[in-house]
Amino acid sequence: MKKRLFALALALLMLAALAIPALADSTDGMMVYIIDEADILTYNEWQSLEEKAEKLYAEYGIPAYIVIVDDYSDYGSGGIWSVADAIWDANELGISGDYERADGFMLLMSMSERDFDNGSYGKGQEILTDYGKLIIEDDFLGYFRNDNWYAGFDAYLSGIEYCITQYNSGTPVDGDIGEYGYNENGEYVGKREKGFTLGEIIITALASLGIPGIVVGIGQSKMKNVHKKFEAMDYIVPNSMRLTRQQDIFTHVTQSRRRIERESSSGGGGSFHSGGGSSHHSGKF
Amino acid sequence: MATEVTNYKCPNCTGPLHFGGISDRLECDFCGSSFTIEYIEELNKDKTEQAAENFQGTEFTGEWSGGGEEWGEDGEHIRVYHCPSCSAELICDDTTAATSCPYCNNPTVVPGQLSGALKPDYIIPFRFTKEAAVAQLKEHYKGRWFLPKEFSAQNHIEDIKGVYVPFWLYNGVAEGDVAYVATRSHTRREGDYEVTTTEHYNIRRSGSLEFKNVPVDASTKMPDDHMDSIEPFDYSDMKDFSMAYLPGFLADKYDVSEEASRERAETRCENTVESALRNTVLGYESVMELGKNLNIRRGNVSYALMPVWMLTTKYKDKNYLFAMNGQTGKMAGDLPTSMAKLWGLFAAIGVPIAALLTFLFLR
Repeated sequence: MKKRLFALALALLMLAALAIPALADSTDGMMVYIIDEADILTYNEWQSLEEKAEKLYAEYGIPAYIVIVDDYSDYGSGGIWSVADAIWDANELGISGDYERADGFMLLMSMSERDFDNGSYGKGQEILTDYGKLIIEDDFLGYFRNDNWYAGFDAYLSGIEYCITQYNSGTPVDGDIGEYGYNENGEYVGKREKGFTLGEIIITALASLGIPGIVVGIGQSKMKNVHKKFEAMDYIVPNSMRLTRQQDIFTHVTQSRRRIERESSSGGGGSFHSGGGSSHHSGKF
Repeated sequence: MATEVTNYKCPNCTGPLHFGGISDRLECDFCGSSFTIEYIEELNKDKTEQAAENFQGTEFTGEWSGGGEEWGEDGEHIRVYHCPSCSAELICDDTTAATSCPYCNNPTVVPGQLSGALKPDYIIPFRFTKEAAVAQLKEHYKGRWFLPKEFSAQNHIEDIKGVYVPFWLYNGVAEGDVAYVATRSHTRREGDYEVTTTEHYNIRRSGSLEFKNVPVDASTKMPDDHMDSIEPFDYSDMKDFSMAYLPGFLADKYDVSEEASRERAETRCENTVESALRNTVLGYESVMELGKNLNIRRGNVSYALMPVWMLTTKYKDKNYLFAMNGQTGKMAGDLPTSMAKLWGLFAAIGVPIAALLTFLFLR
């Protein structure tokens, strides 16, 4: 069932207490898959992505949406994943199937705090598993961190297509999310690489050389107690300190700015949420 | 020509007296009598004054009496005295003020070295005996992880002597005027950026500190770093000088003048006032000194003899010198290090840590 996003955005507008802007323009008889409310794509980029999403739906029968907004909190309350569900429902996105929610995929991007939600709905959950989400994020988040939006969205759609083809061939993209640093509850606990990381090598070297070095240094310092004295603290007449000038003059201010480094894609982070016919992986880009 | 020296004899048995340290009295080894400093001073007043008057340091002429050996330039610094007990000739250098006769072992004092213009103002008497000094040295070895076992086990003290070391004591006021630049910063977050705001200040501090009795050893025979390391002396126990404290110990008169020693004392005072002013610059994250003007207002200078035990040990053909403050017992002396013990401890700590971390990281 094809739906016009224009009509669905209007429905969302009516449902939400707050004024929610239309998510998409209508194009006669055609579904809109790429909704760029934050206006970060050029028309040509949008068109190219739209064609790719259309082709994907035409070929596999399950749609993938990209929704880009300035601030997801303008569209609902709760975390970005619950806002994503609200948008999905209000706009009646996806293709109805056997699941509580319609089938499909949606990448929601919120530009103000650089949040993303990578969601799969209905049957889409079987195709884009938690592990699959992390696999395709490895590709597209790298582009987003460099503000290369078009390449990132293109990588997202390619990733979705890869997961669909794998699923259709009977080998869905699935695996242990522990490889990405998540525990069985979907909580991020830090990525565990095989072998030593550079940090661990440094810690091991510093601790195994530094601690005995300090202990040996203390012991060695006890062997030498003959030193020339360069001060005469023991011979100060008590209360003889006279401070005749104490001047602190403010001269100027300097300011420096440093961009806060975000965790790399291999570093992981973010959180998983699932229930009610959808599953999500959200985080920062 | 040999010149006069004196010694203090027991009024009861005429045996030689020596200063007892802890007892603060002169003691006789022969009859066990002991006498106050004041009593012996009074008893020997005329004798001491006479000896001082007759004192003439004989410059050795280059000819040994009855012999004919040349002493060359060394003769300029040689003095010859007669032991008042056994009449043996004592050959000393020109700074010796108290010694012992090598023949009869009687304590001998050269009054002329420490009288008149050369008379010290003060003296701090010995409070630690020779036995206590040896015990203190053994105590010094304790807790030294890397001390070779053989060093402490053998513990052969080659030489031990109690010496009254001449010190100049300087009084004065150190004045300082120091300029600094300092910074204080705050960091806040603005979106994806960390913004650090740094406030810059020009700082100026001027002030003064008064010092009393800053000591500088006035003997070239004593290593400066050892003498510095056994500081401080407790000046509350400082006495007016009396010869009667000397018997039983060695003593030298100064051979570094007050003018030549002054620089060390003044540098220490200047450094101290500089530190004190720096310590008033508070509340900044970084402080850098830009310039300074330090000055000393000189006060009076005293001449004092301080009690020091000098101990020498030998280990693997190397001499180790220890100095002990004869008043407080503070010991100073570098000790040899057993490299086997040092690296053994290093490995004993480092290897388990490396193994534990490897296990934790690879688990």
